[in-house]
Amino acid sequence: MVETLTPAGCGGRHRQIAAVAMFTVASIVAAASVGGLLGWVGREIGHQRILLAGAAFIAVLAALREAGILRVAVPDIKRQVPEHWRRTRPLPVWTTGYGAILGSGFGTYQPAATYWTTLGAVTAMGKPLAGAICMGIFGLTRGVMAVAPGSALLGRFASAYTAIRPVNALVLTALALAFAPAIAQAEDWPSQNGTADPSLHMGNLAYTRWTDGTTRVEVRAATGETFQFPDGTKLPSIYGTRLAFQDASGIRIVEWRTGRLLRRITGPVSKPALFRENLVYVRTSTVSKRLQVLQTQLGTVRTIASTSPDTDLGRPAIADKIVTWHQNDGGGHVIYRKAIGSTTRTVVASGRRRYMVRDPAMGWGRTAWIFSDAEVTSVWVRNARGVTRRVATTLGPDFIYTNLTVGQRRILVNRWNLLTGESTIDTIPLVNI
Amino acid sequence: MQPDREKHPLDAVGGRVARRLANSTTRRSFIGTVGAALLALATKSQVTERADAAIPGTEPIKGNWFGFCGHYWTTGSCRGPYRLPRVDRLGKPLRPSDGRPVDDRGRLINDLGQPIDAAGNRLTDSVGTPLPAGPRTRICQDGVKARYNLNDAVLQGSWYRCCNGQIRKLWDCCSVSSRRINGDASVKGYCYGKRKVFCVVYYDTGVPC
Repeated sequence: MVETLTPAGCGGRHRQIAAVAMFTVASIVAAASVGGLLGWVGREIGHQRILLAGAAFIAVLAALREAGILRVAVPDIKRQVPEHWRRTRPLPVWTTGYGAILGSGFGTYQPAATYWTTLGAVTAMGKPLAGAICMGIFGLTRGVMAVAPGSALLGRFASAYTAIRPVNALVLTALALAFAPAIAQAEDWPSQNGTADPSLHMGNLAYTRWTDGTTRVEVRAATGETFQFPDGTKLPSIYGTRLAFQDASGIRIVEWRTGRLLRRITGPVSKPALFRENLVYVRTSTVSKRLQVLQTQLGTVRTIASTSPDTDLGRPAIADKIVTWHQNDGGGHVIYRKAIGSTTRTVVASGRRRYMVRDPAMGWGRTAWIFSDAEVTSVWVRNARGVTRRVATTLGPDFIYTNLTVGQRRILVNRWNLLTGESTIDTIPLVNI
Repeated sequence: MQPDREKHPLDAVGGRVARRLANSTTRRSFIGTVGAALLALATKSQVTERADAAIPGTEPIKGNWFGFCGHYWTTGSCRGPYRLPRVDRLGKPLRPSDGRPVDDRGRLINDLGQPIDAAGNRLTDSVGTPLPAGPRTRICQDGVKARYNLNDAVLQGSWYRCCNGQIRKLWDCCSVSSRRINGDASVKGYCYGKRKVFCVVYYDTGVPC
């Protein structure tokens, strides 16, 4: 086929350049479409641990096949590209068609199993854009193959194939092993569209579900059951058997398995954070915003911080008796940390005008927050030893991270698509932090 | 003729000043001078008032912002039908108070671009004929181009802030012009390539924060 993309095959030097360009573009588009589609399928399936295990299994099979230990047929369509096209169809049609067939990966003979391993990995990623990019590179290599100088080079590759196969087997084995930590850290939480505001405790995940502009708190128990709360509820915070969330009249604390109301705080209060018997929230009035802690057993209320009503006093977080929160306005952005009962507060992170820090969360000795510079938002984590690291970054400008929660081995973060107005909860594995 | 009375010293001084003034100017020139002074006073007050009026988007407001929430630098707002440069995702004008679409004259419009009242009824002229749709142009790409002759004006880099409970996307309208809408030197801001910030708009995303 490649030999048809020559001046002789195309009818001239200029026609050859046009043919190669169309072939390459079609190949990239076809390959990227396959990658994007599988990324989307993986995202919709959601169970990342199962998908990763499946991808690892494919990699093992492929490695055994390449090593000659196992004889497994590779799914492909055993034919060449339709040769008669180049005689019966116009040049743009047959070059584009050839590119699409080869770019799809399974339209002709497929001698190695590596391609299918890659497809498994792309599906397990569950990210359509990343999948499209990964497979788009495969499509590009098809185009590069077409401009390779003559058949001599291809012939040398073909003769070296027997030597390449053991190397390929080793690479595939390494890939299969690389899946292991990812499987261990994978969260079975499906990354679903329309979910936001994650709060994680003891494997139980509370979140807000957005449906056509309506919000509803849901809890997905570690056992797999899902508990739903009335429409209009949002911003949950889960701790043990209890759940605090915001509704039209204020904040409610309930037992999430039974729905039994434990406590209600009415008025202009929002953004609850629950830890043991302490509930932190923001109370807004015409003259101020106050961050308050309610000791739910004693009923005592302490004010942790007070700002002007024009300051963005963010969703607080609480762990043991430490409270963190952000205060943002045009003068700067600061995340504070303060012990309940203490009079002094310390700065966790700060940024002048351009650099914004917000939405802190705490858990397992770590503090995490969102950092924003221009169109890029990222998630930063600081561990108990003071080591600080960036663990995720959005692509921007149409994606933005907001609320997050810290688990033992992962962070769940709320990613909004500003184009579609949809929210997704992403899982970020924590490695060496 | 009245007999001369004994003059007070101050009366004498006043009389001398009055006689000198009367000798040095005619009645017409005196009125002219007074008129000119009054005119100058009135003009000065207007000029001063105009000079003191801040360019929209540059005046300090509560929360340490300039002009509107989230705007932390002094570049003025792009000119649109309202003082606040609220736009939709495409950069077309919206009414700042409620985000409803408006045309270039600031009139509420329906899905077909026809001017309507707050209740959604078509606006009519004095004889009841529905008014035709007016233009609705993008504040940056079209408006800046038309008003300031900057053909390369385009919305580029942005940044996000939490305003009124939702994420606001603040957007730089960028051009290669070395001057910004304020009239002074432009800054790089979040513009790409060789462009600099000419003016600023914002888009309320509806994403809660």
